[in-house]
Order: sequence, then structure tokens, then C-alpha cells
Amino acid sequence: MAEKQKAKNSLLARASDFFDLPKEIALNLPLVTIIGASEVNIENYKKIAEYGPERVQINTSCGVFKIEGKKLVLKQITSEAIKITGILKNIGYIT
Amino acid sequence: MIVAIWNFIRGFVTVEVTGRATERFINMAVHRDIYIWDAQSSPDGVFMNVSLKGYKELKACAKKTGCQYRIIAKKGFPFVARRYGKRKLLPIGALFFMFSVYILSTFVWAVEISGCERLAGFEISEFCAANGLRPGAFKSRIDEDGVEKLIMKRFADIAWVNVYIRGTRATVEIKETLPLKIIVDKTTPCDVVAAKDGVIINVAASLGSPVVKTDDVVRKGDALVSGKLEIKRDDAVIRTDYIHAEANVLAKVYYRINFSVPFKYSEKQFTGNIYKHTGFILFDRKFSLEKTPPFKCFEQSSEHKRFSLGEDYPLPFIAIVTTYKEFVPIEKTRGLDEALKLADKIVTGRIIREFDIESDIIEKKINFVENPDGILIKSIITATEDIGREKPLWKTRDGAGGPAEDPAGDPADEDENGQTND
Repeated sequence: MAEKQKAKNSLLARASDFFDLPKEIALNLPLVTIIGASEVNIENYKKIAEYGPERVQINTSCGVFKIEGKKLVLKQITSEAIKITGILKNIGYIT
Repeated sequence: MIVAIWNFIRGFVTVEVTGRATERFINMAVHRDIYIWDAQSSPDGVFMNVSLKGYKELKACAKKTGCQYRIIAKKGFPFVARRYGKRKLLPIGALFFMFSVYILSTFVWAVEISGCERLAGFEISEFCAANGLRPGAFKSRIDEDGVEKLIMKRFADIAWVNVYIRGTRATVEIKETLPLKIIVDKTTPCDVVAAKDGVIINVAASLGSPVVKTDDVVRKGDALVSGKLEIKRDDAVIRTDYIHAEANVLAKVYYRINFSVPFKYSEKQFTGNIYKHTGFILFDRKFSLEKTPPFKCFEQSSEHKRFSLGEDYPLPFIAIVTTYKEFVPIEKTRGLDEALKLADKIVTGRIIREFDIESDIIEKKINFVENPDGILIKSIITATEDIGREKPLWKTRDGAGGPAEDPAGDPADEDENGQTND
């Protein structure tokens, strides 16, 4: 199952590369935008895994996205996107 | 910011969610299309803002996730409206206010005249008022084009006029014509006479024969350069021509300025006590509770402030703030030196203010007589000026100067019959 998914994904990845399609739409990947050192926008996320003022974890299709910082606030939450503001320190995927 | 205003209009609730898995609660709420913003951790759980519509669905989420929530604050217009909804008069008052503002905005409340340089602005505004364009006039009754035409007809020196109404302000924009050049009619025979008493320095006649020399003393009205030209042969006048004399006559002119400077004077010392009083002008009617300030000596100044909705909607309400500043008069005496310094300052000030730009001051003499009370200043100012003025040899007849019957012909024939008066 996983193999099949991977093969499909790589085919799609190659196709989207070939046609210059935006990957986040073609492959259902999250689009993470960092604005300065105080704002992160995550589009196409799955759900909030953990929320605290110093750590936020968000499930996405390619793993858990972890944001560490201070005074983190979920500024805006909709089903498509989530905006997090605060003092950002460490951002990355837990794989 | 815009979003915040929109949220305020729609109304929102700040709730505190407590429990084991507040993230689940948020996820579920988001899944149900509830808009959540400004979620931040609180000591016990999470604070978050939820729209009014979303708030109703929180109950189901709480039940499923086992979280509790409670309202911290209700914000926004719907709550305000609910609070004031019981007061029947309030919305009526608000409506009345809006209605009255609308009614007021259908009138012109300020008329501005711009572009007046030589013309007097108040004359034009009076003329406009007489023709319907005045503060308090109904906007739809004003015929801008008609007023424009009337202004053009009435005032000759206007090249272009534009009347427009923006908001409750009517503006009359005027462009004046270029000033007419004074056309000197060189066919009119004339003398150059003195406009002021003085001592001649120099006579430079380009046309006509000078009758005065340097260092001659002339009185006002004396002929300086004659336009009468006698053509002689062997000391016998064979013909007399009358020409338009033209000359630049430089003369010393003496001005006397006399005044007295007393030794004793009082100076205002402001105590810093200020008394303010506000009055109103409502539809050209003054409402003010005139009060005399509690000071014996004061300086008064007032400031007019017009209420206005934005820049284009001046309203017929003007606040007048009158400020009274208290002072204490202090008697002081000054010495002779100080008085003389002051006198010099006064004289210089008067020269700057009153003298013609083209006159050169060559001497400023200040004499004084000392009295027990003060000094009497007798200053003489010497200036060089062009004192020549053209004066026609005879009064003009029906507009045309001089020999009107035959201007092209030889003027001499005509002039011998004509009366000369010099």
C-alpha cells in the first residue's frame, strides 16, 4: 500500500514537475510560509497535534511540523490554513 | 484591521476552553467550519475568539471531546445593540441625527472666494449673496452658471470665474485680468509739475524745456518742465508748439515726523491667569453667555472654529473661544538714552511702513527737546524722489485730449486758438 502510494506520488511528482504545476496542490503537500521571525502560515494542514505557548505541532501530509518559540498564538484557524504568530525560534519537521 | 472591524460588526465571544485535549476541541471546531482566531494559552487551558454563529456549535464539540468552556467576554455590535435595544429613544435619536445631518448637507454653509488680488473679496461675496449664493441657501436652488455669468457681467476685471459647490462649501474661483497698462497719450500737450515740495537735484527732460535748475526750491504744483515750446528767430517768437513734456525730476524732499516720548510708561506683566469663555454661532445667531472675566486688566483674543464633517461639509455651527489674559500694569520710567533709542526705532519703523519704495533716504536727523515729562522728537528725513507729475496744459474735452478736431494735422494752428493754462 505504502509502496503503491509512493510510486503514485513519484509519478505525480514527475508529472507536476514536467507541467510546472504547484506541488502543494498536485501532491496535497502543506505550504508553509514564514514571514519574518514572527509569523508562520501553514496551508493544507491536517490538524493541530499540540498547542502550547512555547510549542505547536501540526500534522501535515508529510509529517509533523513543529514550531518552537515564545508566546505562540494561533492567530487564525480555518480548515484550509492556520496562522501562528509569536517569537519563532525553531521550525522543522519531525520525521 | 478590516477583519477586526468586520468581526466586531458580526459580534464574537471570547471563551476559555479547559480540559485534557484542547487541541482536539479546536480541530473538531475547525472541522465544523467554526472560525477561530487569537487562540492563546491561558493558565488552565486556551482562550479563543469564536464568532457568534460558531459559538452555538461549540456545545457539541465540548460534549464529544470532554472539554469545558466558559464565556470570558462578549464583544461586538450585536451585544451593544441588545444592551441599548430597550431604549426606544436612542435609535430614534440616532436616526434624527442622521436625518438632520442629511438635511443640513443640502444647504450651503460656507462661501469662499478665492483668487482675489485687486478686487475686494467681500464685494464679490456680497454680490453673490444678493444673487442667491450665500450661507444658508438651498443647494438645489443655486444656479452656479447663472451666478458665474452675473459676476462676469458685474465685475469688469475678471477674466474667468468658476462657481462650484462641493459638500456644503461653495467656492467662487476668480481669475483676474492682467492689470491694465496705463496708456500715456503722448499727443496730449502737458507740463511736468512738482508733486511735492522739494529741492531739485537733477532734471532730465526727454521732451520739453526745463524751467527749473539744480538747487531750485519748488513747491507742490510748480511747473518743472514746460510743454510749451517757443520757436524763435531773432528773439521773435514765430511759432509756439505744445508738446507732451516728459522728464525725470530728482529732488530732495523733506519729511517731518514729530511725536513725543514720555519718560513714564506702563508695561503689561502677564500674571499667567487665563480665563476662557466659549460661545456659539448657530445659523448666524450668536449664543453666548457673556461673562466678564474676574480680572481688572486683561487682553482679549477670540478664535472662531467652524464645525465641519470632513473637509467638504462645513456646518453652520461656529464655536467662539474667547481667551482673557490677565496682566498687571507696571509703572516704569526710562532715561533719556532709552527714550532716544525708542524714538529712533519709531522713526525707522515709520520710514519702512510709510515711505515709497522708490524713494531713497539720504538723511535721518532726530532733534529733541527735553521736557520734565518726556522728550519731544522733531525728526527730519531727507529723501530723494522723482517728484515730476504730468499735468495736461488744458482740461481734456470729451475724453480726447488736446486738439480733438484734427489730431493728424499740425497741432500748432489749432493750439493758438486753444486756451492755455499752466
